[in-house]
Amino acid sequence: MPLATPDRSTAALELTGLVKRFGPRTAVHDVTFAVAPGSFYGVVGPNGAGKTTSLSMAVGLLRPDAGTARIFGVDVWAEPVQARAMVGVLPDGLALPERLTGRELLVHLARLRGMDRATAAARAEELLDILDLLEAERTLVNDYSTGMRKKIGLATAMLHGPRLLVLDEPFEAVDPVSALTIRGMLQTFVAGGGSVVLSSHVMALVEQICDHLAVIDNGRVVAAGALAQVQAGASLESRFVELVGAAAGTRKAPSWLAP
Amino acid sequence: MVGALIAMRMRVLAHTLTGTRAAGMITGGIAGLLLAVGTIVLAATDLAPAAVRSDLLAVVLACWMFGWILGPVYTGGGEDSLRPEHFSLLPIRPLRLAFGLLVAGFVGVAPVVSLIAFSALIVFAAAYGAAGVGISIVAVAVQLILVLVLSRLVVGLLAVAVRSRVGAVLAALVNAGMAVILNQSWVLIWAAVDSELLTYGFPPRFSTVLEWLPSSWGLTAITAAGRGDWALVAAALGGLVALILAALGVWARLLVRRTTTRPHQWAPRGGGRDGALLDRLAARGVTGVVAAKELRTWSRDLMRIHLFCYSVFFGVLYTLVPLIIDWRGMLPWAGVIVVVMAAGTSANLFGLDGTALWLGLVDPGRERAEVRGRQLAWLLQVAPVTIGITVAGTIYGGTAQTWPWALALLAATLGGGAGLIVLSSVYALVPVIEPKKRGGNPLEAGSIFGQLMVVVLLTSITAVPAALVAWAGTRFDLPALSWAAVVVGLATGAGLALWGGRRAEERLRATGPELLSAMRGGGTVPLSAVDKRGRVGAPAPKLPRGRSALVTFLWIFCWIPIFPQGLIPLWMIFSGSESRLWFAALYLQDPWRIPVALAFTALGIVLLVIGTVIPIRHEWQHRADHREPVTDGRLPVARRG
Repeated sequence: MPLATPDRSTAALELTGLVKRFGPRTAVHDVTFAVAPGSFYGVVGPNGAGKTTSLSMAVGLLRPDAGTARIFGVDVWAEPVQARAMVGVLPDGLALPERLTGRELLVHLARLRGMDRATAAARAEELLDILDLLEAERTLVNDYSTGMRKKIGLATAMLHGPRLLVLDEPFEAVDPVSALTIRGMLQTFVAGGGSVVLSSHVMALVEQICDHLAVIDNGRVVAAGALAQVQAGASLESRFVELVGAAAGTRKAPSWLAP
Repeated sequence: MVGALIAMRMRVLAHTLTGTRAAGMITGGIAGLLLAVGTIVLAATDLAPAAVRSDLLAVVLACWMFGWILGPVYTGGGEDSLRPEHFSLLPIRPLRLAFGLLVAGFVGVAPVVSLIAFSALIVFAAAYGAAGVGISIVAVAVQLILVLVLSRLVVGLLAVAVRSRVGAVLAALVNAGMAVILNQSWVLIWAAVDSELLTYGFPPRFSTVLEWLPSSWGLTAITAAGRGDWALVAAALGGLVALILAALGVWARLLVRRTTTRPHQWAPRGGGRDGALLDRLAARGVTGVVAAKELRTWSRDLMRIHLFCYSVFFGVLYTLVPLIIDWRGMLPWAGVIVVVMAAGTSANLFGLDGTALWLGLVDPGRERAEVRGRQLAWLLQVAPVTIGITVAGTIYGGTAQTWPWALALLAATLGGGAGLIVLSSVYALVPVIEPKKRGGNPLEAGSIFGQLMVVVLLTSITAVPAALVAWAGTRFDLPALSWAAVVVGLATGAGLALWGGRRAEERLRATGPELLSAMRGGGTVPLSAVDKRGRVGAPAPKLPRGRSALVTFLWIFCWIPIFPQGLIPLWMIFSGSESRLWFAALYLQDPWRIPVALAFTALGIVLLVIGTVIPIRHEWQHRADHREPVTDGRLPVARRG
């Protein structure tokens, strides 16, 4: 596909002052961070912090009320076709064309992306094989388990060979073996010069695989930078709890819940 | 537990009693009350001739029973306020849960209305002495329980059945049958009048069948009590009780099945291999790729199967019913009616896919293919069937002159429908439950009734140019002109399909994220609450209850003057039909027939327009109000004028 060759020094993903209001409630106040090319970037935060909202605005799924999102320097909202061809997206909890099998879905999307039939078929086969979805040849996406849905979603994100992957909770509900496979794929991708942005609330995982991260709380970035910098000598989990100020509630349990 | 369930149901009812639902409940309640009073009047007075009174009461009671049985099918699975799934983890035996849900089901408008209707039995029993009245009180209670439990049983069957393709088709058949009976009831009335039923009574065989229906067993018990035949009384009432227990038992088993099994659908083996039909379609560029995906979805998505089959059954049954009175004249139009209905049921085409819309947003620039592919798939799905139906119908029910008419209207509506469905689904998207979370239950298609009606009406209007040309051809006896109508139909159809597709494509490109936001709300955020910049969550403009009820009323009743009292009589006048049926205009002398039919049509259109304008004006007013800056916490004052 004809793509503009972006400058290698520009950020893979750059969010500047993103704001999103839902009626009277402001879900995202001001989200600003930049992802350097070739980095494995984690976005962490408690439930409802605005992770999904921010990532949706970053890839063109949700129109921001203010701020900009650039992918390799190209504005996602001003030049959508060019910007979005460079990114692969895994949204959390959105529907797919449910009544297709995994293979039909991948071939369909690949053809929409302009690949010819042979390429589409070959890529679908390879992705299904790597992600261990060949067994479910006749199962419709509708009947996939949660983990399988994640995997097929991930396959759709990688199908067109993007240079940046934006993944919302890619490891949620995925079994440990598949999680290892996915991790391997992503790490190979990053080693080859690709960039990954993923959101998660599993601190241990982020600590293991990400080199940079942003902590979002209440729609604001409360810390961002290299992993060691954000950790500041502590474990990510304790640092996280400290940052989002949730320490008070950690010792409560229902009074009747005792053996 | 029963108390907790009742409390929960009342709480849910109280929470859902807003806006259109409340209006619907009030309208339905009043209509039901009128029917109930009618039932009592039938039993109490000598309005109905003595020859048929008791049979007629049995018929009416059977109607109440079938209403309860078919009601949930018609509304798509009945009320969902207490779903068995909510209780599947509680340590309760299925039978006990079924019993609890049944008792909780007595809370509501419909059971009260039915209780009033069934009290006609007590009125009827007055003629059979104290014993009869005593038995009638028991009969009323038992029959009310019976209809409720039968209704639950049907809901239970439906919940299991609509999870399969066969179930979706059957539900569509029942649904379409109900709608046709409502729309074509005049035929049945005509048939009854024709056979002078009220004077001679029902045929004996019909009376026998009627007696065996459980809805008549209460009547049987009362008359038996009047005669002192206590064995028959016991048999009739005991039969009812046995039936209730059996239904409750089956329902309890169904509850277990519903909550512990999950349907699984297999894709056909090797469907996507090289050289298969859909693969060849997909080989023809990006539009073909989208069309192939759409056709797969049309054949696999239970909701779409249901909606499409509904259209086919509706059109075919609608035109078959008049055969009862030996009128074949409607058969050539079956195909056109199917097309119009299929357009109406596809009016939310994009909405049916839920949030899968996101795939287009991350790969922009393919909006044209997305729209054109959907149009192509719709045409491939609808056109062959409707062409076949039209040809068959015209051969059987038409004349040489009918051919250009039927083909012209078919071409015009096929194209018009293809244009309108994509337009309406991006301009008036109705958020529905995500495809993953629904079965073939038509209720889960969302509140598409208004959208469906508008598209049905607009699609019918797209046939007007072709119809005018065909009419001129018939009027001036120029067959060539009549046949030119087919060309006109093809032209307007193609033009509308292209124009609608282009506008839909522009809209999709411009407001894709907003449409996705509306879908993400999953039905809780109406599109009207998503403003131009995609800010979701602004409070939806809601009509006050009174006006909302008025709008519902207008939308339900405007069709009677438009179609049965307006356009159909007009058509019959122009085609020189002799029968008058129940069409008021046809009972008048000649200078008045056409003006009266036109006046009815105009009245209907005025009602429709008022019903449409009220909510639109309300929304404009709402938007105007919200553009005013809110100062010092007070509500902005509405603009004057």
